[in-house]
Amino acid sequence: MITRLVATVLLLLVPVLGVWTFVTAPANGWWMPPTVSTFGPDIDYLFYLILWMVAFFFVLTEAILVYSVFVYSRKRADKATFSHGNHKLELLWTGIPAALLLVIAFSQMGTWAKIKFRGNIPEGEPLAHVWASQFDWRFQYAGADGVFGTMDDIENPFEFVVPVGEDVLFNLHSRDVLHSFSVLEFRLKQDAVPGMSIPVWFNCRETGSYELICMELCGWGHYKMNGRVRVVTREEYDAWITEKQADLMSNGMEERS
Amino acid sequence: MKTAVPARPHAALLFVSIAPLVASCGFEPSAAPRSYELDASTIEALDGYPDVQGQIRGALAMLYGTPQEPRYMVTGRWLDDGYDPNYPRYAAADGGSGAFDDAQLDALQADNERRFSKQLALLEAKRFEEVRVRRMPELDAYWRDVLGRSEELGDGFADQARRTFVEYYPTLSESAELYRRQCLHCHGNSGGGDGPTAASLSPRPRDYRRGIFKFTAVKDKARPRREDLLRILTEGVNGTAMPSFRRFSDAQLHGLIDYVMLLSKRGESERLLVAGFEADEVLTAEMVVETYMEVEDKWRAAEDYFVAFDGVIPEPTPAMIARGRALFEDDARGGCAKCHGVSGRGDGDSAYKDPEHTISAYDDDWGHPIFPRNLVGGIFRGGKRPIDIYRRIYSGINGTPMPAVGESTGADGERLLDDDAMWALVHYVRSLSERPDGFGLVPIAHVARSERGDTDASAKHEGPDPVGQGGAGR
Amino acid sequence: MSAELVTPVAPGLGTPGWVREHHEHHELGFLRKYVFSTDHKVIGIQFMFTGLVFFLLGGLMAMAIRWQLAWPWTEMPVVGKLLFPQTGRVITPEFYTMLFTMHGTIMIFFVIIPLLTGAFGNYLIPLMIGAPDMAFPRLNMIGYWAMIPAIIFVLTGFFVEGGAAAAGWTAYPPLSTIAGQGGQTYWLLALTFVGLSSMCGAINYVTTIVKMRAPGLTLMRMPLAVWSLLIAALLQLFALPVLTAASIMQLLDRVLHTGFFTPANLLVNQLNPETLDAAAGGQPLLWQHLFWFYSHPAVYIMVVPAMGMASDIIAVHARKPIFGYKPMVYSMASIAGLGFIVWGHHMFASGMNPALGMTFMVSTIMIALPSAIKVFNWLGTLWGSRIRLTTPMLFALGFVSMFIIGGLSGIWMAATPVDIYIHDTYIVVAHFHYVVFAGSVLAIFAGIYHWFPKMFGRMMNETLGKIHFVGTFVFTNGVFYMMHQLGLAGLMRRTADPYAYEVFAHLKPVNVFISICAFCLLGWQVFFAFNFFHSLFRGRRAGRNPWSGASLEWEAPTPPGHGNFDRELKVFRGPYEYAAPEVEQDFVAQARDLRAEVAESA
Repeated sequence: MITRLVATVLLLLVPVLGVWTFVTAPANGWWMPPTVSTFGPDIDYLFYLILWMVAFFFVLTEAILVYSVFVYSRKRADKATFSHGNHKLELLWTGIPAALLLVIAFSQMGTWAKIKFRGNIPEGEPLAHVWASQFDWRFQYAGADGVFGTMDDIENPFEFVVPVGEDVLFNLHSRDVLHSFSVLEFRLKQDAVPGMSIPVWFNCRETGSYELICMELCGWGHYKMNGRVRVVTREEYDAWITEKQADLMSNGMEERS
Repeated sequence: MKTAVPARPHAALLFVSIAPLVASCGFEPSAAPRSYELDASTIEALDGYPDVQGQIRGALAMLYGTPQEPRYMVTGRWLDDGYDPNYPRYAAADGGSGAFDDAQLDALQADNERRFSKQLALLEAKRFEEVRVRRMPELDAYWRDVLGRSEELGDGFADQARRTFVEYYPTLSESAELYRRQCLHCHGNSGGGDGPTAASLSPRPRDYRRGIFKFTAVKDKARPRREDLLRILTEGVNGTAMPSFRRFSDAQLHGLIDYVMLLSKRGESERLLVAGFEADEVLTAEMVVETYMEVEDKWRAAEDYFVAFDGVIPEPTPAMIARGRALFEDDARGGCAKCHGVSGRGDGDSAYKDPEHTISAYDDDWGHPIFPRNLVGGIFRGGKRPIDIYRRIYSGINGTPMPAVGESTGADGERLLDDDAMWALVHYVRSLSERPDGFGLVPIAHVARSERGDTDASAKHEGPDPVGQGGAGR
Repeated sequence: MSAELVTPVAPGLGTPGWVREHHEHHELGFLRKYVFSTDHKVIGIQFMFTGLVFFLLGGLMAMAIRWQLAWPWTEMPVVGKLLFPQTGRVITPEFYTMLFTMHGTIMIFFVIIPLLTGAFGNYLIPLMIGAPDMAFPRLNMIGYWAMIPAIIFVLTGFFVEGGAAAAGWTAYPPLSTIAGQGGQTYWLLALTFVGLSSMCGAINYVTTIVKMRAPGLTLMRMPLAVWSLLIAALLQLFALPVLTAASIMQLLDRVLHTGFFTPANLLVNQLNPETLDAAAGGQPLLWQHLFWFYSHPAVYIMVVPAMGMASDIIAVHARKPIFGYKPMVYSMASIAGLGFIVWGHHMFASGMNPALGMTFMVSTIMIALPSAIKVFNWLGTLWGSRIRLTTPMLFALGFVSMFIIGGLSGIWMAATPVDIYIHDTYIVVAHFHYVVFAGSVLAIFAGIYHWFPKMFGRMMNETLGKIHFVGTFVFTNGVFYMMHQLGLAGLMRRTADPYAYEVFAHLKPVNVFISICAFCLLGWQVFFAFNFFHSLFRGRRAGRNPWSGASLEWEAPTPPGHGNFDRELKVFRGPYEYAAPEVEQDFVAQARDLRAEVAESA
């Protein structure tokens, strides 16, 4: 009797607490931060689509499990139902999930193509080349001549300054091992592979500072390889570039205390 | 098969499983206490004098405190002058050490206002109870103390609350704790560059204990200025495992600098005390205090050795670059190619003992073999701005065989390199890492030195650049 | 055992050599009987003990990991004092990377795979198909002993310069080829030997199942446990060579400085520049493809046998036939088959051509379907059954409940755009721990409780078993469920200090909660350990068929002797004839000749 109760309660707690933690998670901050990029809402939509479907089947199957365990563990003298299966039921629970899964699969394709496919990446020269290394991020902007690789390039460690509301294209490189450029609020992630120059783009709609996270194990310093993406207005961006260019050609006199 | 179980054991088990969860609320372990270690060379030099070792240890503990409670001992003379290095934020003669001028204090304040904007907004809205500081337990504790005294402070509470955040500056203990969490595992408990992670790094983390810092804006092997150390923290050291630490606030960074300076001064004092003992065969209290203040004075004087260029930097025209190249390769003037090689790849014969270029001819001041920088890779540890490279050439790199060429004079008493010549060299060096075919800063692989390719500078980087150098302690 | 051993052998194979050995009445010494044995049962039990010992080792590593995640950079008990006196007894970040690397490696290659395929595969297959032993007993023995060099290599890694492997169990280059850890080389060698061990086993299992079934035991009358082990063995056979090849390539990169995976122009701050004297021109992505080509089927190797065992246990303890036997078989087969074409879902963000992301997405999402079918069939089995809530049944039910969570969470990761957010976060950690720990390990416990009587002739204590279940179930969920939330908040994997990032600072209470649950979880296993060893010597003696099971292993004596069975076996029906109306009892054993009984009584 006790075993039956304990087993039922434990199995029941799974869907109950399982759903409850997800329901209360956003209020506790245990949830995705609000997205500020243009393709972020698409990803969030797909996430929620799957979440609802998954939640439905989670509750359904766990509920049936709990019910069966409780009802059919009652001591009875007679035998179980002698059934080896039900073909119709098999077709039903093969067909419906298959259809739902195909719906999920096909609904993803557009968004994936939009974010990652070469054809959909913004045209033109990248805004910056982003260099990941153990354990730092360096952002290389073309200087006044607009050409990367010349002496007037601006190199900024830690902070990636970009204009708001514009398509930002950058090429991602790694100096040594695999890293990954990831900003949660942008719903953006791309591994940096040494030997490859990978074009990545995003368009951020709100100014602010967003934490840049390395999301691929790159050695002992992986845990602190953070950076910052600072999204500013176009005017502020231009002013910042000018300031960095001036700093580049600084003669050091203003550093005197 | 037993299926019936008495109820009491179940209840007991339930309690046993929940109890740890409940009991763990408020459980906050910490690190075990540490103490500063004497350098290996100290122990070796004082091998037969264990009591002297103890005296030095004790003296240093008295002067500089412990890793948990670091603090400077305030000497009589300092007390008279109102000088206290424990409080760099306050002016000298005001019970501080005057490390910051007004502009810098304003900048610190502005940075604090940015960093604590959430907390300050909550204070404005009078939601005092909601104000918290994560990840900064000392500040959080201090704030709670202020909050607790809100009755007592009365009208002054709002102002005090605001100042808690806006004027935040970490104590040496706070900085020591931040150092412990962020820096110790590479730079070591006593700042000797000998933390456990250091064993797997090349180049090694800095050993602060000689007071020697490589990438500074000072000349004549002076101590670094605060801004130099700040620059290292904010820019990182490109091409090494030292990252940029801009994620910390300016106040926190300055606090770290305070602590690093303490570690450095402690190391220097230790060396000087050992040298003093070896010279006089005796260790006196006067010696200790004199050494202590002498070390402090050296650091205070850093600003006097500041290097910058008072003028407009000339443009990097092709003529300038050509002139720079000529100076680079001229042994009598720049003399750079002797070590850095005609190609700039660090393969000059003078730097090596053997023709295969595997054994370095020089050690750095810490006793490790050192190789000349490969200038072609675009990675300059002290920064790639023209003024940074100017400083490296002008005042050399402290701790390495890189000489200070800027003020050297020839046999005729004239400067070997005048301003134009210096900038020509700087522009030439920077031009070596240009990559007209694409993006610059292509890193250089470490390839066996025996397989190094051609050293003809005219055949500059076609395609991927296979040349580099390895080795310890560059 | 009589000399007149019956060898139910399919036509064409002939009498295995060892049968002739037994006809010679050669009495084996202790070493040959219990250490260097060719008897599949002994080998199975050897795998079991090895797996459980490493389970403890891997679990202790997990405790260290959890300590660091809850209270980073504080004094770590035991480890801190022993290894890190100079830092205030605080571990270093590189030690942490080594911890999670070895935790994963040990759990996958030295615990789950040996327990499922090594222990249960070896023990159950001949017994469940009515064979006297495996087709190649000596190869079987080699399969176990190949684990010994693997164990030696994996442990040696801890003592070499630079420490054990620390590039993740996934060992992505260039981190694994250029970094200073000497242990990585040993890691690769260990993996090669584990692969050898698995291959020996796989060859044996497939041959035995195909060729040595008792008369009347058609493929569609085999217990699902046997099907699952057959499918897992086929997965091993076809996937492992790729991992072995990749490991050798990485070994060559490390030792001989070839350039399979090392691109040109690397600038690395590490102490051994010689390792960078590589030929260069390599592709890090190549390793990822090769590695995951094996490692994805590997995860099915780790789950499919658990599913099979759970199916058997549920049928026995629910006293009802498995609902949809053929769909269950086909779904396991499709999981395996599809499992070969989904490996790219580990690489959506890796920089491979995004078009591949599309194809792998479709196959990965479809692989959820057979798993769903299995869950529905288990539910169908339970419906209308007569459940006996014994310890093995509790664990099997727990398996189903947990597998639902693990399987469903996989769908988020299969959806490629959503995976952009989820990749390398704690949702992945939650997902695989749910399927492998909350899933496979619960099934392993179920299997141990269920087959312990057959293995050792004694019953395990039910009360202790139930207590073990309750704590394990509660704390497992306590540890792993909240990881979904951590991952949704974006917390990345393999981080030594989550709070180094501003955005994760508020997750500390969750991590503390998880860590406390983890300590309790490990501590709770004392009930199992005590029960296991106590029952070995003092457990109530078990009869031949304590659970009234219908499959063939219950026909053998308890414990089975050499050659397994003491009568000639013929199979007349499927393995799940529970609640059959034709007899008074609530089951008809597979090998029971009803017609002969009727004839006899007439």
